[in-house]
This record gives sequence, C-alpha cells and structure tokens, in this order.
Amino acid sequence: MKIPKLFGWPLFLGLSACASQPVDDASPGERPATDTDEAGLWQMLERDEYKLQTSTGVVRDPALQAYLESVLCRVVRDHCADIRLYVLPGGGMNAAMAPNGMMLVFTGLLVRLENEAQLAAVLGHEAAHYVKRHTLQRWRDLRARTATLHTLTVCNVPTSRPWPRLSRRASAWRGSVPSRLRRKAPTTGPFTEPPK
Amino acid sequence: MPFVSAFESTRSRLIGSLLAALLAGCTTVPFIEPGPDWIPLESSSVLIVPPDSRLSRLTTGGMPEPRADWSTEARAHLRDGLARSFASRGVSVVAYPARGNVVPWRPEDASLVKLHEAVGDAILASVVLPTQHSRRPHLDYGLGDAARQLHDDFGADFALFVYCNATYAGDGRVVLGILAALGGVVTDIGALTGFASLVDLRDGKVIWFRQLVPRGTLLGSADPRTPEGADVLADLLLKEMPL
Repeated sequence: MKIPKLFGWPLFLGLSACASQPVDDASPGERPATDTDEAGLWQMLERDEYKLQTSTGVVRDPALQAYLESVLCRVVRDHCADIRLYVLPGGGMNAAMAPNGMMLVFTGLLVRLENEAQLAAVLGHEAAHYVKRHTLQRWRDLRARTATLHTLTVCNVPTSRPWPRLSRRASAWRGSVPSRLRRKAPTTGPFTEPPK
Repeated sequence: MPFVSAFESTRSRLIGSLLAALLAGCTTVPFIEPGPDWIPLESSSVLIVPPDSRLSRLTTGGMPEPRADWSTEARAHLRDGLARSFASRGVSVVAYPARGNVVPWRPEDASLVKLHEAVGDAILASVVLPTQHSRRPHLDYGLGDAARQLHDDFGADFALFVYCNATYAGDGRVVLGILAALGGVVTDIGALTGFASLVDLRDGKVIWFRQLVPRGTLLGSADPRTPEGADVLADLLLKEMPL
C-alpha cells in the first residue's frame, strides 16, 4: 500500500497548523471554560491541591503563612485571591507554581533568603508563571510538537522506501538462496574443488 | 521484520492490525469471587462513593489531555448508573452528599479514596493479572479501620469504590490511527481502565473486586460520558456480583 506523498504532506501541514496559538495573560478572578484544555489542567492540579490540603506533610504555621501571604499580595495585588500558597518541608532552595494558582514554597528556600526583597522577588517570579499561563503554553507547545512528530512518522510508514522494499527483497532472497548457495559454495568453500 | 512482511496487501494489513488490537491479552481473570464469609447484599445497604473518574482526550501525538467536563459528567453518570443497577437488584443504596465537581469527597474521605487507588493497583498486580495461581486466588486486602467512619456516618453496610481512567482519541488521533492501520501499525486510540471494590465497612475488608472492563472486552457502547453508556458500564460491572 502506497499513499502518494501528495496526500501525506498536506495532511501533515494541516495537522500541525492547528498548533499553538498565543495565550493572553490571566485576568484577576478568571476561570477557564469547562470544555477547554486549560480546564483539564486545572482539574488535574486541583486534585493534587486537594491531596495537599488533606495531607499532614504541609507546614501549617499560621504566623509564617500570614506573613508570606502578605508579601505575596503586596507583589501580585489583584491576583492575590487567585493564588494559594503552601509551605512544604525540605525540597531544597526552590518554589513552584501550578497553572491553577497553587503555589508551593519549600522551607529550603525560606532558610536561605536574607531579606524581604529576595522573598518578594521569588514569589513575584512564581506568580508570573500563573499570570502568563506558562504551563498551558508549555502543554500546547508539547502537544503540537508530538503531533508533528507522530504525523511525520505515520505518514512515512506507507510512503517510505524501507518496508515495502525490505519485504520484496526478503521474498526474493528466500527464493534465490539455494541456487546462490549452489553456485557460490563450490567456488568459495575451502573443502571443495572449484568447478571445472 | 517478519511481522510486517507477512502482511503485504492492504486488506491483510488492516485485518492484521485489527486482530492484534482485539487479541491483546484476553487471558486475565476479570474478577475475584467472594470468599466463604460472603453475606448476601439483599438485606444490606451499599454506599456508592463518588467514582474517581479521570477522562482524557488523546492528542494527535498520543498524549492524554485531561478533560474536566468529561471527568465530571462521567462521575455523575456512573454514580447514577450504579445506583439504578443496584436498585434493580433489590439492594438499597445510600446516597453520598453532593459536593463540588472537582473534588466530590468529604475531606475525611479523601485519604480513603487515595488508599483505594493504591490497594486496587496492588490487587490488580498481585491477584488479578497473574494468570497462574497454585490455588483459587484469595482476596486478602482492605482499607483498614478508617472505613468504619463511613459506616458510622452513613449507616451503610458496604461501600462501592470505583476508579475509572479513560482516554478517547481526538480527531487528529483517529486520522493518524487509520493511516497507521493502513501501514500495518497499531496505534493507541484510547482505552478504558479501572476497577471497583466492594468494601465491608465494618472491618474495611475488600470482599469483591473487579476490573471495570476486563481486557479483551469489546467496548462498543460503554462510554461513561453518556448516561446510556454509563448504564451499560454499570450493568457490566455488577453483572458478576453475587447479590
């Protein structure tokens, strides 16, 4: 079976054309529509956040929590209500941001920060991931890339040379082996005389 | 490549890939029968814990993209289908209080649902999937004493936990799947996996366990995204439950 490349390439271009569109910044209080890819990401992360909320592995220090949230809200202003901050023990000098507004701050970061400005810089950086919808952008980019890759691969299966050629060669080889052996063996084998 | 060269014509390639897709593992034990301490459910009540459903759309590249709307609908439809199926068998169903769409469980039950996923995976891996048992497979798993809380709160004797994970091919994936089938290659165009456990709430033991859809079952209409499909799935699930 051969599909002419004529069909393969427009299909590939058509599929990869619906790739990544630019995304707008999240406005305060914005929620994704339920039938979108963003809503799927949100739901997945909300499950994880629920696990966090019902977990004993979260640092629950009211004074620390209040202070961190006050710094966060001074940095992100209108988005303050969109972002929930959780402090997790250990984890090195890091913080993370989920697409649904779940922010993780590790105690490994808190013990190394020297002043409030450094803290504000980190929290602002993480909040920007949320406002700029970076996870959604990365997901769409990945989706488009894998689609392109798979389309290329599959379109090449029926059209490319190796498989049909290989099978024809294989059958040709099967038929000709005995006669080739018969012809070659006497001339190359060490224990027989060359034919006269 | 002996497999490829065996399917030279288009038709035999198509048939070959269909066969491969259908025959992929029909040998598993679909469910575990209850032990001798089984109590008939007729005079009992069953609490249907909101199913843990995760539905995704398969992108063209084959990545599962979680769909919030499908997951929410599937959970509601499955819950309704199971309640109807139980009621038609004369088992009284205890309703679980309705909560939010994303997280339908009470905070105190969330860890039980998490635990059920882990225990179900363990049962699948150690009891259901191994095809050779020296004796009849025995179900010796449970959710522990924490399950008793459900008995105290709802007054139910048993609870049905359902875990459902399904992927459905998007348009691009379907086109790719057809093209790949023409080339004799089988691609993943979606699957429905999961399991259900009936838990005795007095001691937390799993007394009945079943894969949602045993591998090799043809899934024509059992689509939990629609009420009718969820009914089919619920009937399929409860068919072997000895009530």
